[in-house]
Amino acid sequence: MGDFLVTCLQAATPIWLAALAGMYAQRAGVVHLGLEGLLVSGAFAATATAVGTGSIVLALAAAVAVNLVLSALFWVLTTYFKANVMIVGLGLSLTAAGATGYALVVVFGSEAAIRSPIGLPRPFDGLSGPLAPLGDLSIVTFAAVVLSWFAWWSIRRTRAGLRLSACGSDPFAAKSAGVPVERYRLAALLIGGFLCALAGAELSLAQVQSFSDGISQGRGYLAFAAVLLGGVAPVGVSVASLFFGLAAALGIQSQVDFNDALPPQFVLMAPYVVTIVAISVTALANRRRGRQQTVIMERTL
Amino acid sequence: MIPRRSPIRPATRDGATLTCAGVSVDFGGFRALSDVTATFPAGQVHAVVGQNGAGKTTLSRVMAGLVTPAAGTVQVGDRLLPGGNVSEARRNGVELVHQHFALPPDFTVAECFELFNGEQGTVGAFSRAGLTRRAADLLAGAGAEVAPDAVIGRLPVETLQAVEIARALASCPKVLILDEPTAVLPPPAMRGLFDRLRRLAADGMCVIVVLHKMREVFGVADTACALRAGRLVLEPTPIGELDPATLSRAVVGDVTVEAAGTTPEPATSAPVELEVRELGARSGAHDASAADVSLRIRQGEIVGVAGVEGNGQRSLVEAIVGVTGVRSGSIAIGGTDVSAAPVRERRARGLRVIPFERNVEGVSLSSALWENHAAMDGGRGAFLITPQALKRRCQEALRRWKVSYRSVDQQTGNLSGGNVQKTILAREITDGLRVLVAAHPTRGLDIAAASDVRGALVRAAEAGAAVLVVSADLEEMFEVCHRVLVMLGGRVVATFERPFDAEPVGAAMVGGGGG
Repeated sequence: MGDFLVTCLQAATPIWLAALAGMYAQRAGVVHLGLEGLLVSGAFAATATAVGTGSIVLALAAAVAVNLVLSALFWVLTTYFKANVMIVGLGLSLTAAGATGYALVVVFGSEAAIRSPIGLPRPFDGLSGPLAPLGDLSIVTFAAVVLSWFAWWSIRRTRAGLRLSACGSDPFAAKSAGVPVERYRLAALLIGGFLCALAGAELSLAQVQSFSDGISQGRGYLAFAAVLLGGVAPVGVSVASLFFGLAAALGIQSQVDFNDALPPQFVLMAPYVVTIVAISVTALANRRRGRQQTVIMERTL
Repeated sequence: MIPRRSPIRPATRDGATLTCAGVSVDFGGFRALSDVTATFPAGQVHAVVGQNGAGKTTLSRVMAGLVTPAAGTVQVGDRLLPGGNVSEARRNGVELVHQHFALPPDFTVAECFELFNGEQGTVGAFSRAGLTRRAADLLAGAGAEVAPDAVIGRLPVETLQAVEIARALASCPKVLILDEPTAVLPPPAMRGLFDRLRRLAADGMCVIVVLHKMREVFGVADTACALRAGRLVLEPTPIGELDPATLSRAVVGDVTVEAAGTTPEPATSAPVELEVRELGARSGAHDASAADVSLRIRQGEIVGVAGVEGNGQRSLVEAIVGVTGVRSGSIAIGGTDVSAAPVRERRARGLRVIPFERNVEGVSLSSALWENHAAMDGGRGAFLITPQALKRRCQEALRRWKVSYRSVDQQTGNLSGGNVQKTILAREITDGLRVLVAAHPTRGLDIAAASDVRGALVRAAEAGAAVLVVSADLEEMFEVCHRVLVMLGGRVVATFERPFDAEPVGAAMVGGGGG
């Protein structure tokens, strides 16, 4: 049981952090389809730096630095060049996938994967007794727990969080209150870049300790689904991410337990099916209540 | 951080004089305001009047720092405001109450107050309890009856205005600007608002209010100024030196506005075109269910439905149109029961509609004029369309209705409100019209456009249509209607015949009228 919960948490961590990133962005009024790209770029930067320097601190720092630059670029493109938010986000995701695959070949001469000599620290490694499975969890998973609480607190209990939410809910009202909307959006995207850097490092340096092409397997999009499924609320988004982790762990477990009876693909399919059902139900319920789905609304002056 | 209860300052509303000097605003190539210079002294209520597009909203937004002027300055007391800086304007005591409210729909009332709480910086946390307490204090101080944890998106429009005013007064402003506050209010609430503004001015505040109607101006203001096409055509002038005719002339220029009048009431023997019997229907969470509503409209008759918004008017209209199901009772057009008929069949029987929200339900703002005009043919005729023919037809119709437009290919959203409404009239009032349902037909339109629209309703009745008008504007209904029903809580609570008297109708709207 303990092992299973640990597997859940391990599977959930990257999605969880990326989903929190997506939540900050969407609260600020930016639909963030670049989460996948930031996961991949974070994973690559972390692994490449770990290989090059052998330092886990530098690896994390590099992932954060790269993602902050990419997030700032996202903001510049959508704010100053008025590029479509969805397209820039998708472009970021696709470019990151292509660029890291290319860099694997050019820099490391490898098309398959690069292995890192070191991994993320595991703070409870070496415990014995019933808590022993905790030893498998990386420091980023524990960070995710703390950061999700921070996300809740910052959104629900601070003035800055309130203003951030206003930027997404009604930018005109935010402007009327004197909130510098664009700056809040930049801040939200930068926080998101940081969170995705951690998520990416978890992806490549926690268990497998290697970076391979296509490492994220669409987890960034799953994170985006978690944002919507969780109603763009801190708690909801965390619950949705943990649910996705649970489903992934079930998929792994079913491969072990009844390999022949039930094809694991069906279990792996479950979170996606549930996402589609849940989002459809929410949308229908909203329509029943006469509310419109808000993706992004901008009242003009 | 310990949540600090923000101090509610005592009501020492030291007003300040607001001065605009040479203010000009450009939107792209369009000059929205040009060289506006005006002084609004403290301790008075100042009315700013003008037609749609005259620049009233732009002027109020410049004063509040929401729009950066291309030239000119705004001064509060002896402080010169930096242009286009809301925070600075608010710090200097200028608050703007928006026409459509600046309240995020998924926020609670308490959260909105905190969003606009300028007394504390960005950094800092709060507790729910502290937020609620502050909101409760402010709401009580402003006399608004609403729960601090009510969600904005579910509140009726009157309450929203009360909340918006309360949040504007929370910072004890020196200058309070209200952008068309009366557009959404029924008459009794309007009087309450005006009393309120008078009291604030008496306390020394500088109150600037954008208004549409002459009667309102003379009911509340100390001075009035008029904007026309972005220019100040009448400087703030004491109301005693003005009369309605002078002010009207300043607003519309030399265009003559004639009252639409109405048609003589049809004979009681005229055939009934629209008959609603004991109707029960519900449109959604924002409106009361229509319950047991019965009405009959004869050929050539214009019947009005008055009521505070949200009392079942939308349920009634949507049930007649066919977008909301009939739960009980029946609807007949021209003697044929259509209770279960789809919209298309009802339209084929001669039902036409001017919907509540013209920009959302009436037209697609992002579509070309001709596309909107052709939309009525949906489902009729051939599978393929011929754009050239449809464009030609649209051109003819728009010319007949005197719509000002550049090309039928232009986006409908580029037209002014009045012209958008006329494109809807051009589409709906056609041959075969038997029942016309007009919901808020003149809301937000300027005097000239509103008069055109009212004229169109009257002419439709003259031509033999049965017309149902739903409006919040009693004057308008009294002008054109033969009968006025009042809806309250989804039921028809009173019926009035010509000649109308505003007092009992207004009383019935709020449930006070003689039981």
